[in-house]
Amino acid sequence: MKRLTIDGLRAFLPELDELRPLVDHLLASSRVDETRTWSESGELGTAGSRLVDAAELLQRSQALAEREHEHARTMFGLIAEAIAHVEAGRHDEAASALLRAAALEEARDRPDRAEAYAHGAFELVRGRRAEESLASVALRRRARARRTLGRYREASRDYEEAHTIAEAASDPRGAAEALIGAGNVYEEQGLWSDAEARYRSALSVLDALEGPVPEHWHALLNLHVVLRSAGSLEASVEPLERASEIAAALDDSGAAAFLQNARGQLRMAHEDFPAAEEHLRRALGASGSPRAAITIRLNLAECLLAQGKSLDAAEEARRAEKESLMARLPQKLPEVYRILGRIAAHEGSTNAFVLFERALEIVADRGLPSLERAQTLQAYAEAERRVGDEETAAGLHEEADRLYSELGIERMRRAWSDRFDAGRDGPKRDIKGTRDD
Amino acid sequence: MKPRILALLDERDGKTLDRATAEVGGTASVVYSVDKLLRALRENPWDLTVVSLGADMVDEALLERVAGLESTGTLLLCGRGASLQAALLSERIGAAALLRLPLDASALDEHLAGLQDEGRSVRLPGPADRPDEASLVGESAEMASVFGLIAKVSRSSSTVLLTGESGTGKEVVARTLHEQSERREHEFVAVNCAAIPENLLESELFGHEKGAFTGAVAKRTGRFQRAHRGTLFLDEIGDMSLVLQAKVLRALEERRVERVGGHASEAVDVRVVAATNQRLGEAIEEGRFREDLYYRLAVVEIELPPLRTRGEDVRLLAMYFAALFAERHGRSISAISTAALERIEAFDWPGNVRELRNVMDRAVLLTSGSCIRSGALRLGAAAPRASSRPDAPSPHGYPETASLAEVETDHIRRVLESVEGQIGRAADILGIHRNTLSRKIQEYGLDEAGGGAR
Repeated sequence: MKRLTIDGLRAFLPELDELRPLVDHLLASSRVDETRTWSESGELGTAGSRLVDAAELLQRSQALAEREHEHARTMFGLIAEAIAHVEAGRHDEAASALLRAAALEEARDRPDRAEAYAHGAFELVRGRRAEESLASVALRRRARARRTLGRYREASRDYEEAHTIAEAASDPRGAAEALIGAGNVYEEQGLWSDAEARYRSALSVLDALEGPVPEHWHALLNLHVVLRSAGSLEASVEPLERASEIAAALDDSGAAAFLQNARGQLRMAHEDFPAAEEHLRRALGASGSPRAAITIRLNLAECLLAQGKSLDAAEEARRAEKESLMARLPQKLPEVYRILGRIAAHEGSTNAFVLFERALEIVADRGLPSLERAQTLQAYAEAERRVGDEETAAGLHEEADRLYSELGIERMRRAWSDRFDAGRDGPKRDIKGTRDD
Repeated sequence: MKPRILALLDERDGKTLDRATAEVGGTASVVYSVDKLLRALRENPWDLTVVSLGADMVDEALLERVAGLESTGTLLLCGRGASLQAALLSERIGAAALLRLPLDASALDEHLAGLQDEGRSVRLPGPADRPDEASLVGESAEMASVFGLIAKVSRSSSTVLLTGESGTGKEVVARTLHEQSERREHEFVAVNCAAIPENLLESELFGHEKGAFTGAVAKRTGRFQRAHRGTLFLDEIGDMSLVLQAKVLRALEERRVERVGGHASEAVDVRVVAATNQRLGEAIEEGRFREDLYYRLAVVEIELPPLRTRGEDVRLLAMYFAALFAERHGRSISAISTAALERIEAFDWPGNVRELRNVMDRAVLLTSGSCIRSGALRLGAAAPRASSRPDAPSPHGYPETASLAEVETDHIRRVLESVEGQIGRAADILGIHRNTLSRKIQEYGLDEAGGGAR
């Protein structure tokens, strides 16, 4: 008897939004098919080939439903609260209730919904002088959601406006946060000089404060990342050192993972991979959240692959896969499958495409930003070229190129396109250690 | 064989080393200058070389040179106090360990113990003595009969069905059949039918036109067309759906294929070699595999033996892979100890040749000297690149393959269950702040488990 896999389940289960928590739970509780341990199909296995644990779902379905019910009750409560505040003329409190709703949706990885609530909050306090700071917060939250959704132009516009409003409201930390947020959007688009300018402006604002605040090391770390990405490795060291000093002065233990991760990537840029590995392992030890651990683990896999340790690289990527599933972060899976696909192609497997196709499938199913799709197509094209399928590689390259253009990610697109046309390997996957705003 | 140890140390540490070496029945030669160290390395091979980082004239360049010499054996570094720089250097040059000075006999014991039972060194085959493919390595009677069948059928165009456990090297045999055939000037194309999801497999086999379905961003040539005049290897064919089995059967009978979303069929001249680790007879009885396709594929059937039945071949293959990976990773490894070979021969190899290959790849990376020792073999823990690595329970209550996040999730869940979801009590037991526990519960999705935490 063939056992039910996640793929088998998806063949008959309707794709309804309300079933998403249930599917995520099934993914988290799914098991690997041990009969495939030493076969090639095991090496190319993905979330879809994992086995469904139906008995576990029968046990937990009630608790799952209760959790959804609890969420709906909280959200309805917040909406009712907001309406009552509006009726009583307390727009600031109404906006705060909607921002709490946005935060809850953001924590559940629903940026589309978070954006809608943040938008509502902003509309409530827009133009009201007494609530300028709150309006800036609402815009920053909307901007963050839009950035997550890959709507970069709208996100940067929101951050710039949030900065203007915070400045007018004499809220320097709010202004700095908006500048860091804008910098992050530009950085993601490869517009490095614009990003650098925003981080430096944020630092000017923060330096005028009496003492250091966490935004200081956030801005410095991000400045380091953008300088490093732009190839100014020497210049990137000073902000990283300052970020470390400020985090130490603030006794901010949460900074260690980000700073070590950045040091690891800096060593990778210098092609000093053993030293990079050391930093990344320390970052992994210091990471406080599964999301950070997954990102660092994938950097570590890159570092191992660069040293020719493909078995170790695949092992770390597989751990990142397990952690993504267990922590309900399936949006991290495309990154995992991209690196596994590259490893398989590196080993000469003509079936590596399976992993890239899976990544594209998840990007589409989860409505992930176009950047994820572009990066997956880019890695896919490189892998196909490596295994000798020039025709497919060219088609994928063309599509990735079109997406990068659409997103306005010119520099990254051009750099890659030149290298691709020259028939060399593509650039390393860009994984940032940037602290979000 | 008594282990021979060379050390560049000061007098006091030299004495500690002498005592520890005597306990394992070895001999230690302690030198006090870099010149003497290099001379000793030129004159004799050593099982273990110990170098103090604080000794005169010892710098990175010297250590790199020592690490690269075949006569060094295993390299141990030692220094006073902890230093990140020393740790990074040790890692970079492949030293087995970085010990603290003054030397502690118990820290040395661990490394010396690994030397005492290594037996003699067996030379690895040089490039000229190695066949191109692992499938051709083997002198057992089982493999002799496989080689005989390969020789008989390689020149014909008849379809071949390869059977055997996972990891026995079916693809390598299929490739050898192709290389020995008159089709060798054309392509050998491999498809894994179990790895490719059902919705992709048809277009992968027969190709598709651009825009034939959502996601068809580019025109794709199918594997049948790419294998024209060559060989198509259909691996894990037992996992193919009945619908696709019918389409493959038709392609084999008509020798024509049609792209998904296309309108015209094209002629293909393909020799098919299929493989499976399943018992197709049972699959036919259960209605999971078409009998007519089976007979079409199994014109000649070759069964590949599992590694555990191949006797001496295990040793030959281990040496073949060791030499191959030493060359691939640029390591100057020229031998393997008899103790390491004995461990390899005693192992059961559930993952067959594929597992042995991974073990030797890792062993090469873990060897700092010129000889692979038994300590470098990670038997049973050699990770496949699969997600399907079995999570066998360990005496500690969780598998060694579990990540920290998995262990943490499991432990938090158990504690929460034991206190009926009371977060305050659970946080006390776990020794973490209540807020930290709440965050972890949310991150790991534990609030939906076991009646929910409060």
